[in-house]
Amino acid sequence: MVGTLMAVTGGLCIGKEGPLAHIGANVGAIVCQAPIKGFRVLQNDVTKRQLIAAGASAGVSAAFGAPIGGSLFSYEISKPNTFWTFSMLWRVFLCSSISTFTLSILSALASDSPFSLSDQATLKFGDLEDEENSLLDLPAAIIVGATCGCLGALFIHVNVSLAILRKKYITKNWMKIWEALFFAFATSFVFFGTTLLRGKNCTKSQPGNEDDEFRFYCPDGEYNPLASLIFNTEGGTIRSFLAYPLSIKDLEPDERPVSTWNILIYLVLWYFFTITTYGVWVPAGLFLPGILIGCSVGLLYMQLMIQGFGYNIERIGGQSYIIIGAASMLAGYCRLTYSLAVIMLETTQSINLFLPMLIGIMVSLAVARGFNRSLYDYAIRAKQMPLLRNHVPKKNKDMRVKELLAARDYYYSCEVVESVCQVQRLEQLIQTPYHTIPVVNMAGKLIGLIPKSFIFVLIENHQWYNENLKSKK
Amino acid sequence: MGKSSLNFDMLRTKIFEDRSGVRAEVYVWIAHGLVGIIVGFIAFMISIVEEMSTEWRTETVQNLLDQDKASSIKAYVFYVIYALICVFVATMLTIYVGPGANGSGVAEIMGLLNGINYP
Repeated sequence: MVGTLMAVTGGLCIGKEGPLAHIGANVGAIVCQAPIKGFRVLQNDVTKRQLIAAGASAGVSAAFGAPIGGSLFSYEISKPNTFWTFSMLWRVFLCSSISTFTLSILSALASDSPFSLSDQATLKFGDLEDEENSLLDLPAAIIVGATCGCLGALFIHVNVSLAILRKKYITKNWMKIWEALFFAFATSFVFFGTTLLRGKNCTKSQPGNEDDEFRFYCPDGEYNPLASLIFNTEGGTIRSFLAYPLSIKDLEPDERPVSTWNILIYLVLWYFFTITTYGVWVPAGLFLPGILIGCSVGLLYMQLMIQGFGYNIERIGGQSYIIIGAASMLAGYCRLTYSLAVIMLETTQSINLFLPMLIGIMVSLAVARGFNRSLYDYAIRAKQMPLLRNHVPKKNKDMRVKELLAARDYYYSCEVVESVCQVQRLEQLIQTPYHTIPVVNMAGKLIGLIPKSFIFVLIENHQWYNENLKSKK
Repeated sequence: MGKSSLNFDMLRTKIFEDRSGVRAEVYVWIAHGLVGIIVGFIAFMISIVEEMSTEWRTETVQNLLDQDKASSIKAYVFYVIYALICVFVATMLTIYVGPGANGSGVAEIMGLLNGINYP
């Protein structure tokens, strides 16, 4: 957990949202085991899973300040499954709003204004100006969405191939350490180097957002735009991206603060290093880099509209493109749908933009699905988790348990164990590699399952068969 | 510990029947609230420390640049070494303390919520 912190501050191209969700899930699992009297009611697998889901959604909602989006997030990633009930959804909502609320209270206390609760997330998009929504947003959403879909698919492809290489060649612990160090070195080296190369172009600083500016080589009162993009926290960078269309409205074209080249350099650098760094042995999220890359794609599109087609900035309004870009970039590789849309909606608090954003996400998803599957699917495969799909594959449909067991040489265990048996027989049963054993009644019909661990407990407590207790294996 | 399935079914045992009812419901709600508070606190800690350390790093780089207008070697070296130290600590922690924390963690949650207990 501390690792996340160090990795983010270390300047690697990674985010902190995914680990936060993981931390949340862990907290859920820990609370379930908390040694408080009365919490014993929580100690079954069903409640445990509910708590884990609640924790994950709390983590996401604290990260984005989006309680509904967080809940939907954990709803969506448990897609093929149906353990969500109405009462549980309600509890998860409570849990994630409480986590967002705690975060906002604490940060309000930290910033010496204990009664304002506006500062609500570790990542926030700053204040958006209410602007007219134009019809031009829709083609923008389609184009930006398609671009981001391609980028996302490429991202997954490169990252998965890299992961295979990693598995093959980097096997020892010291190699992992050196790899991570190498990436840290390369990232900081290249970032600082590019800043130095373009160190001489300074612009006048804007009144109002001095916090997000970085002076670098420039004299007082001016700042270096590229450096202030690179050296900032990730949230700060997003803020300055969003402030950009507002600030250039009343400026002449040649004194606009962030030039197209700077954005392009930033985009390429982040894209490259995020692809390569994700998979190094550090806790690393992918949400923030996606948002940053998407933001810069949106900004580039805006520049294209202004400079290539001569649209007036006041007519098209740039912020919507940035947000559409961020949303569709995330959709490009996370392959989340409604939860992502709601998270972005809540983070940016711009309801007008919901439809263009949705279209961007849909187009990006459609394009990216043409190439490959979700990054998380690949990750699940890499960790060899036996995840069940929604549908039974066709050739497995007519299989019976007997055939499956016969194929694996455990046919003997498929025999029905008699209802009252010796412990020795049970021991034999336990030595098979199965976790759970079906229980049948006299007629040979399935009446339930008994996990192996339960049999252990029964044997240990000498719960032998007697006439009063009929339900014994 | 290997991979194993979580228990899908509600267990209709005597212990389980004893542990349901209004009191149990209240405890479940309390637990959810507790999870929310703890996660919010952790998120706050992370964001604060990240902000502070980034600020400190930027200021130090700026100061070093101001001291030595001619060359930027000092600031460069500081920046790189700072990144190296942070990442070194991060990888050591990941590899030797908690190997489960590798990666984004979303895949693990996906597995867990679908009923697979991944250690």
